[in-house]
Amino acid sequence: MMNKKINIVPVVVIMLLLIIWQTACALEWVPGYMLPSPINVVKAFVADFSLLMDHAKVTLLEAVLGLFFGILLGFVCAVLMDTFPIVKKGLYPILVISQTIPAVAIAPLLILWFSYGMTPKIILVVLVSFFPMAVGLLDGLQSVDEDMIKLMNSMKATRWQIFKYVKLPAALPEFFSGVRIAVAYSVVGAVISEWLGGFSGLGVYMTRVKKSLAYDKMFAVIFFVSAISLILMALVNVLQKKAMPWAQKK
Amino acid sequence: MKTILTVNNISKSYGDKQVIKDISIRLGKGELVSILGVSGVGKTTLFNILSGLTPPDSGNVMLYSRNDEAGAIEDGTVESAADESGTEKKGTETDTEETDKTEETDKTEAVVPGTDITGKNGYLSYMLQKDLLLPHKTVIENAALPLLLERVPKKTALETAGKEFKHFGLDGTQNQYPSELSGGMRQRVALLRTYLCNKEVALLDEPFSALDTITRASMQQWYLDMMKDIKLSTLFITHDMDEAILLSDRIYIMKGSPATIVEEIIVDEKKPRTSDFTLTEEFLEYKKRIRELL
Repeated sequence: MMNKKINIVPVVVIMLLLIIWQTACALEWVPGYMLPSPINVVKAFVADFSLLMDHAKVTLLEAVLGLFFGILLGFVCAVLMDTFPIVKKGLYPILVISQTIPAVAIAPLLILWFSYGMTPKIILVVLVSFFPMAVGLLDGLQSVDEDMIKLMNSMKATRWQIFKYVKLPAALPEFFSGVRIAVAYSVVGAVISEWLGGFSGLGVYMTRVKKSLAYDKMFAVIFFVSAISLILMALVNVLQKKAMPWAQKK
Repeated sequence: MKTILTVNNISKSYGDKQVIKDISIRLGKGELVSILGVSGVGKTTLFNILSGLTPPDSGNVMLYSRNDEAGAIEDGTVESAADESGTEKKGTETDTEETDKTEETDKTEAVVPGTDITGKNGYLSYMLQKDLLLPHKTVIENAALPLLLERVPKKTALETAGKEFKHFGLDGTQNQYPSELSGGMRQRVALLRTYLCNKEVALLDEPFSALDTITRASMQQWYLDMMKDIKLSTLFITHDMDEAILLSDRIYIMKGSPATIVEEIIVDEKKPRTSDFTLTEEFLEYKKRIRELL
């Protein structure tokens, strides 16, 4: 949100939580090696900053490439399912079933098939981001008012014209909701597949600092990963505003 | 008056249920003819058939377009369904129709074939009940939609649409989005879009029914004023007696299940009319008669 007036309530709540956390650590309610204080987490982040950035580059590249292909695939599937009811009948149940398979379970398989490079990570991101895209966009395409289609038909519009003038613009809000969810999944997906084998990336960094029991670095990287997701989602919001100027004028 | 459209013996069933039966209608050039009936009687089904979106079970729709002007029928009056179904009819106007009937049918078949547009879309412009403006297009782009669909270059299309904005009372709204307009204004945009379809016959399905009473009255007045300059042949669906009497040259009453045309009423009041007409004795006479029929 580009709102000038940032909502004050969540900011206060977060500040309060941080203060409680810091106090708990300072008064040693919890042993310091188990729960590092927020200040120590920040220190760890600063100390490892360049290393974190190197790993982040890899993770981001996997996430973005996977997202790109995931969105593309989801888009094509949604349009096909919308255009040909038989495709929807055949594909939709499989899509839903595929979502019940946990990503953590297929990641090792992908590594066995495609080795330790970037490929299995990108494939996993495609798999997790594809579903929210396809389903979201399909819902959007099919939400169009039947009467609007009737009107277009009475004006002898072609299928492509109906898609271009009516369906696609109407589906844009759902499209962007899908992208937002896919973005969140994609970063997590990339990190998970890195846990299970790889040479670099934030997931690999995580497993390493876990092994050396560096709790402060663990916390630092966890916050860093969620910050990346948040930034990407904010970026999607900006894109959506640009793509749908009419939505603000209400 | 030249006939521009005839609807001949249209019937339609959905499953076992016959919705409309043996409907025949004639529309003269520049005429505004209303089809009046209670909600749900099958008026919209009829329009879906006329616009070619739904094929009828039987009957046909003939368009006598400007292209075969030479042969267009002079003062053709088609048989109304009232004659066909043999329901009781009021003497005066049906008498004259009877005499024209045979002659007209002959002419239709022998001289002007017209165009059989049964089940074909794209011949008539159709305005549905809702305004159905595209929220993501500006007002002018919405109005120009029929031109854009015909692949008129965007610049030309917008220019053509822009010329009509003043006439339709939409000046200044060109670059707004539909969500910024009031209900009445949105309806005007939808009417302009229908007009820009540039077909010889417009089908208007309760265009003012979604508006509040006051806005509706002012829209009707505006519509009457505008029609002074635009000679559009219009078939008009409504369930509002006052609206039908105020706007129409003739009114077909649609009734029953399956629905048939039970009566044709000629509103013999000079045009252009104003809303003062609704306060006259004659107006009440028409209204009384229609109320009895419904």
